[in-house]
Amino acid sequence: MSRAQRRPPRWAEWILVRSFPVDMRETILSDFEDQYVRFDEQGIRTGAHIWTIVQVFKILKGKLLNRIYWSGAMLNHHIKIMLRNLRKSRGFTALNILGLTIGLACFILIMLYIRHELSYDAFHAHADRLFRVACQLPGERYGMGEDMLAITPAPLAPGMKETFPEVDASTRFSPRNRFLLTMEDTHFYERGLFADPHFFEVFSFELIRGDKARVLENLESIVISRRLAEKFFGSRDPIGKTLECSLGDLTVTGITADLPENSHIQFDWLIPFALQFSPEDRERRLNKWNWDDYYTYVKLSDASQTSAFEEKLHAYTKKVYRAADVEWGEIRAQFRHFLQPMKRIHLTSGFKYEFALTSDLSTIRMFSVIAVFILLIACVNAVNLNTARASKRTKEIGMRKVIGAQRRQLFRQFTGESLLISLVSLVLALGLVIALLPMYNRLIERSITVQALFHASVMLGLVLVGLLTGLLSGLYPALFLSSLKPVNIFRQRIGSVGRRMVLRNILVLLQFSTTIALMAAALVIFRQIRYIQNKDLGFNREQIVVMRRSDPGIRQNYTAFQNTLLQNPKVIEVTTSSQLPTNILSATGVPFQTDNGDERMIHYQWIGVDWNFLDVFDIEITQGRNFSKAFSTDEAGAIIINEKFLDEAGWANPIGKEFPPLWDGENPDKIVGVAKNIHGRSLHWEIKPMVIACRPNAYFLFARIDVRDVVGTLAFIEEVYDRFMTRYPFDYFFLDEQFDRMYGSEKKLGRMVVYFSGLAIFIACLGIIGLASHTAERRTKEIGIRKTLGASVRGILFLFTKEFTRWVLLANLIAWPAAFFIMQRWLQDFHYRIGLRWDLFLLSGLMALVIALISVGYQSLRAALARPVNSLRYE
Amino acid sequence: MKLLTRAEEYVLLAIWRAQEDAYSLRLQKAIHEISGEKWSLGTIYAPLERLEKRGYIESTFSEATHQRGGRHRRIYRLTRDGKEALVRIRQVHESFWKNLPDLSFETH
Repeated sequence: MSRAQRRPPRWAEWILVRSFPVDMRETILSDFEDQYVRFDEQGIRTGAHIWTIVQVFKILKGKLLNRIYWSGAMLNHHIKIMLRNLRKSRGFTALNILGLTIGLACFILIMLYIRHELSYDAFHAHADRLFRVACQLPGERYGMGEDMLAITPAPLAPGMKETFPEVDASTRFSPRNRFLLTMEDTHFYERGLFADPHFFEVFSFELIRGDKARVLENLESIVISRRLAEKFFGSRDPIGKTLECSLGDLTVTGITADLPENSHIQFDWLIPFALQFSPEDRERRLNKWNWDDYYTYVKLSDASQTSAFEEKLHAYTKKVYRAADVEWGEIRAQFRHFLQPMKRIHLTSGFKYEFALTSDLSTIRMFSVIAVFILLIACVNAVNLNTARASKRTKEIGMRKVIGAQRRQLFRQFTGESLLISLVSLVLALGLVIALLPMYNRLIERSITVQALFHASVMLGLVLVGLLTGLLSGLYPALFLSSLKPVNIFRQRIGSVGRRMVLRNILVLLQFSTTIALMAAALVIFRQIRYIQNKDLGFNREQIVVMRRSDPGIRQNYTAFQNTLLQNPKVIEVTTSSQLPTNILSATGVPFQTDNGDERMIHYQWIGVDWNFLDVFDIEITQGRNFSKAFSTDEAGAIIINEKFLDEAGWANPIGKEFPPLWDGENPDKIVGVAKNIHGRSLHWEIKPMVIACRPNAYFLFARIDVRDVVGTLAFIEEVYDRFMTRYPFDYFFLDEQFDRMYGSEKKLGRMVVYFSGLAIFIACLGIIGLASHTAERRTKEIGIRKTLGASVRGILFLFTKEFTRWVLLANLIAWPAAFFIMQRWLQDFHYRIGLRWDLFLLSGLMALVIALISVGYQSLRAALARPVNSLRYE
Repeated sequence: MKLLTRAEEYVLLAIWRAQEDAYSLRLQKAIHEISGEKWSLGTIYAPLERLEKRGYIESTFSEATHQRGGRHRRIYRLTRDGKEALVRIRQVHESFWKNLPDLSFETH
């Protein structure tokens, strides 16, 4: 055993050295070593070690207990002082806590929303390996402004599974939003999917009843949701029972549990995929490669090789499209199918023919920014209020320092106080969030549960945010206060507290920049929405009741039905079309010959309409004529193009030109007229070339009704409908409502921005009210003197508001460019949009100024009106 | 001048007994051998410190020995005052013990 080893372990010595006063160290270390060596010499090394550990433990225990005792005592003291202080300045405390509570509540609410949006589709087992196959077209083909499609041909899913070993499972479905299900006398329109039997291999939706592998095996089966099961069967067992639909009788084979809300796929029933096609046509439709109408999902065995897989997929589809004897095979060979990660569909799929109600990433980003800014505004408030209030505590600080408090201790004391305040606010904010959640859910059109709050990660995040808020709001006051010199404090040289306005004003500046920008954003959104609602679409969408002609009774006796309706003078006109004129989704691209013989590809939207459609919707004809029963060739033979089409084709005389066969026909149509452009899609998109074809007896049925007695007229229409109806119950909506719904997400955004910017302004106001009252109090004497010397109330008011006004005005300079930049980008999504005019920004700036002045005004007025005698007498 | 406490007395005596070798552990050992009581080092440090402050003892650091890890030992030595204090406490003890009734237990 070497001598060097005969020493106590270094760590033990290290602790000892730090645990005793300097003058005792040497003795103690030496004795410790002696003891150790004594054990060691007796040959019991382990004994020596155990002894060392015991000794160190004893030392630490003593020290620790000591520290706990004293810190407890100090804590007790600090809390007592803090509570006294808080009580003494109740107003400040209330403002502080109120501001932080609202700020934190906003932050939590927004974060809950964002968390919810980001959580979509993560509940599937192996969600990382799930993809949807989407399609990218070579350039813009469908004239819809995008070339990404969410839809694919039906044979793609089984084809991929057969061809690629990488594909663990694949499935396809086509959704229906309203599908009539009947049991005896109960009818419900329900949404669901025609899904193939591999549905449950890919997705992890739960079945309460039934075997996932078998529920969709038989063609005449249906899986229904628990909700639907209750609606139809109540407490009876639905399994084995029969539901009727237009495709025949279906046997209930399974029941799904309630779907998670954060699933982009939502359904109340599942019916075997193949059943949607008529038996005679089934094989052909299932193998039709040139008809994109289905959604394909795959589960890959390895999610890391997607780009390589996409290459292979492209090669495969290219081969298939060329080999299969399909129309447009060569063009389709250029389609690139690619994989869309399941978890990102909700936020990043703005694809054409997306069936899910998706959200988008830019909204999420926008709200994250708003959340952070609101919290910052609240923190800035707290900083301002704390610093302001602190000037009344300088004596306490001086006293503490004289008695021997170190800067570190003071720093801790003040940060501790703001931490406590922020934690109290956090608890209050949580309460507020829970109380507001139902309302909030209505606003964001989601159903977030309170349970989401009590998730471990959320809780941890909240505590962190609370701590961070406390630190942010307490750091500066704490640093500042703890730096004060007692000498200056007691010699009353702490003018510096008052004059340290620069930082405070910069903070006010930031607060107001943010609120002004938020207000400007809200204004822009609302103006755009108003613009959309007042925009002349080129057709009259008012007072139009829309029905669907799904019912065979109505379809077959359409003329009689129409005439019966028209017998009521309140029903002004009745017509039909294949699409809603507000949202024409069908589109195609065909080459046309221009006058000089060139060939030009024109992508156009098409709609099939009734004879009187253009009249009913007040669409103006600029050349040629409207459809007319006087021409026997019009039905399924005449079309009217819009002006945009004419522009693109460049024809000098379009009337009488032959048009290649449309979607339904073998025979070419003739152009009989040119109509004015109408906005056939949402105003996000530019007006496209359009073909209006004479195809009476189409799916949607429109009745323009008199505005007077709408209820009575609707009852009349229902009564007539019921007379003709055989199967599909009466169901209607108003066209202008449907139009408004198309901008639902914009409205939602607008509402959210308004609410949150309102709250931001409110918080900012709390801050300046606090500051103003503080200033007023501090300058009581000054005001007294000024007034004695002859200052007017107005002059004093001016003096007070001058400062704030200056900073609020300056805030505009920051807010305007920021708001301009952000809202410019937001508006870019609309092809038809408002211009960002200066008055909009001026208005938001003015609003902020007025609000700020009102907040400051009251305090200032009170100070200015005070009698100088009162303020000066206490000398 | 205040009298020595019992602990101070023991410690002083132990130092006197150990002479050149009077360092803390040695003192602890000596007290243990004579009185049978196991004093912790902390119990010894306190009187040592007091005594040194009062000037009854003084301390020097020994040469570093190679046998140990090379640390100095603090060696205590009685001062003149210390010796006088010991003598005085002894006189007090003896005066107390003189002329007492018989203390031995009576056996009836």
